[in-house]
Amino acid sequence: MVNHRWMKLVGYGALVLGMATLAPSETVMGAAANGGPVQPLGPTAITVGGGWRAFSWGAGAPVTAPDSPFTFSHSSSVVVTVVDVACVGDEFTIVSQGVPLAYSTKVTQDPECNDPSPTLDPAVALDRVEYSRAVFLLSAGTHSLDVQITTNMSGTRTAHIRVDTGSCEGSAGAGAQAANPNRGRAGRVGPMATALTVGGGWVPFQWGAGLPACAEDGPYTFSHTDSVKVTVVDTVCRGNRFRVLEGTTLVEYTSLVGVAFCPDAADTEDPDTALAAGTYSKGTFTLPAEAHALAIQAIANPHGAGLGFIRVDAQPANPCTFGSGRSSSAGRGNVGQGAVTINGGWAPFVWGTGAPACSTDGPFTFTSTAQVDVKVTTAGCRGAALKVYSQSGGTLLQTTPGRGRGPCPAPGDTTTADTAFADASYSHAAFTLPAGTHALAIEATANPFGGGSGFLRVDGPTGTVGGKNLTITTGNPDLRWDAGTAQTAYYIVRAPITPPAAAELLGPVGPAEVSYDDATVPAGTFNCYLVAPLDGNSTLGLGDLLCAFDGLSAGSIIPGAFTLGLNQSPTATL
Amino acid sequence: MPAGGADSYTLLAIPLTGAPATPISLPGTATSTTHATGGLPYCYVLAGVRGGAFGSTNLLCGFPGVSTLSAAESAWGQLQSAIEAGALGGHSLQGSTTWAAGPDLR
Repeated sequence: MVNHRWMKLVGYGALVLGMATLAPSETVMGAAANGGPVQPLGPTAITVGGGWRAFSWGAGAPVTAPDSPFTFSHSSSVVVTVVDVACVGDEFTIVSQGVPLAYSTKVTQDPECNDPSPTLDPAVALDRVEYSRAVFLLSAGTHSLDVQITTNMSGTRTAHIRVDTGSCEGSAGAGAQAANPNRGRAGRVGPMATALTVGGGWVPFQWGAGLPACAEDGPYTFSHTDSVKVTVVDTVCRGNRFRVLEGTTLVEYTSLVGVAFCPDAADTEDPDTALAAGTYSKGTFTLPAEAHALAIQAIANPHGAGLGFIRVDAQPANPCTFGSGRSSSAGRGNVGQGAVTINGGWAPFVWGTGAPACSTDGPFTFTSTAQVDVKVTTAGCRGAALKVYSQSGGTLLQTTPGRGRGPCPAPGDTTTADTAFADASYSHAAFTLPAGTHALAIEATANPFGGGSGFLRVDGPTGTVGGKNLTITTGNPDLRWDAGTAQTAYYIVRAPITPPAAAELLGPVGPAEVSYDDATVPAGTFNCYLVAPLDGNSTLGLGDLLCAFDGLSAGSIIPGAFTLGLNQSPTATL
Repeated sequence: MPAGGADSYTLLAIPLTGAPATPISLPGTATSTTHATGGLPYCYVLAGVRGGAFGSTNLLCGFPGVSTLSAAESAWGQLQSAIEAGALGGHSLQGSTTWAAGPDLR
């Protein structure tokens, strides 16, 4: 059964012959035309470089092509092309495990199939803008793609998919381009570098057809004595997406956006307007203080060319000054909302738009009588990176490494702190802080999704930590310290100063011990000591550093039991 | 500090910053005292006088700020810095006529 729109196609004898290649899908189409449910036929294995593979679908919108999922794997990046044929008007969303990867171009609706010269040849359709198409890049690996028909003109249609290797850089990439349906239209690798000035405003870049299509004036070079904020945004026709590379290292993907008509009344060439619009692909990320050379590649290029902008700006060393009102998240300010309970588990925090963006839940305050372990992790969508600062406007304590941006949402996303902390694809870090009162600020330095969430936890020993109030007395020398209940053992660190030698670990000594006589010290030597309480294999902290120089006593009335202690303070007690 | 045994004591506070040492006089009844280091590493030696007799202790040193069991900020590097700066050697501890001239009586 075919409907009246398909009957128009029957008049094109050559096209009818072409339809003979679609036998499996026609079966599906028939079922759909009879009103029955479309039975899944997939998965369908796709050969990379194997040419076009037709698929058809039945009624409904959205409806998933019954041949889905289309599966393939490859050791390098691939270009996926999906294009409509026959009557124009269908549009697609390509989905991987429930996550949209690409949208096809917006096209004119033609429910009556009035196109006087429809084609069933996907290569021809790809050259005619009235046919919707999605062309996008996927990284190396195994992929499983569902094609959803989001606009379904007749309820029984056909389209094609193909997967090809492709890169716009290197000789291997050039060869691969020859097998790509976009062959001969690849954007060129930037033949000249463009020097960017930090704080110098927007610099335009352009690219041509192909996928990926390299920005023509790259690489974009700059250097700075401090970390910088880089912003990339698309303009004019919407639907492009970029990836930013440094050498062969991926730095950032810009956001995935829907494809719009081109031209369209909402188009803008102003990067600030595009950045604020939310409908243009954009990305903002932080790079460390050093020389950089960035390449920009269009990895979604539905219009075959485009205009984007890049800018590089300095950023304050610590923008997360409490109470400054600099927080960009919902105007809540960054004022004392985050009292942290030691050993109280994970404390959530969020941040809003901007890069860097301050967590609105800081400062995270706590007081510990012993050294504590601090863990921080991003969660939810992958791609954010964090900095943790001490006190208001204070020193940088820790930076969580960038992990590269993934799609958002993506399979495997988690908002469970333990899971995220154990997952290498989430940016996270662990560090220790000494006993005392702390107030931590958290800054999202990479904020690809304009907001995000993470978790912080502080763990310390339970009970009293021994080893405090160390004293040293002339003699062997004799070390004494306060007892505790949290430690399982002590180590004594002895650092010989004269004669110089490597530091030694003495012990372990039992958790109930409160003294140590270092009878092994040779006369005439100068040694320094630390007492380190342990909990299992973890150090609970370090006591005071005290030293003794033997062999200097002299005279007939040498004062005995000369003792020094610091009591963890700057005041010596003798 | 020892309990008595001398007519008077002198506590020599020696900063490991290269600054001059500070003698602190104490009565013979003293058994303890405190010294504000200002967060700087100091070494100390105690000398006692009784009649015409004299004696001094071995040297003890403290590096404030190293402990992580307190609120003090970590300054573990002070020791190495002091060594590298020659602060210890700068005081010629072993060459001190006050302390090093006698036999080891520990």
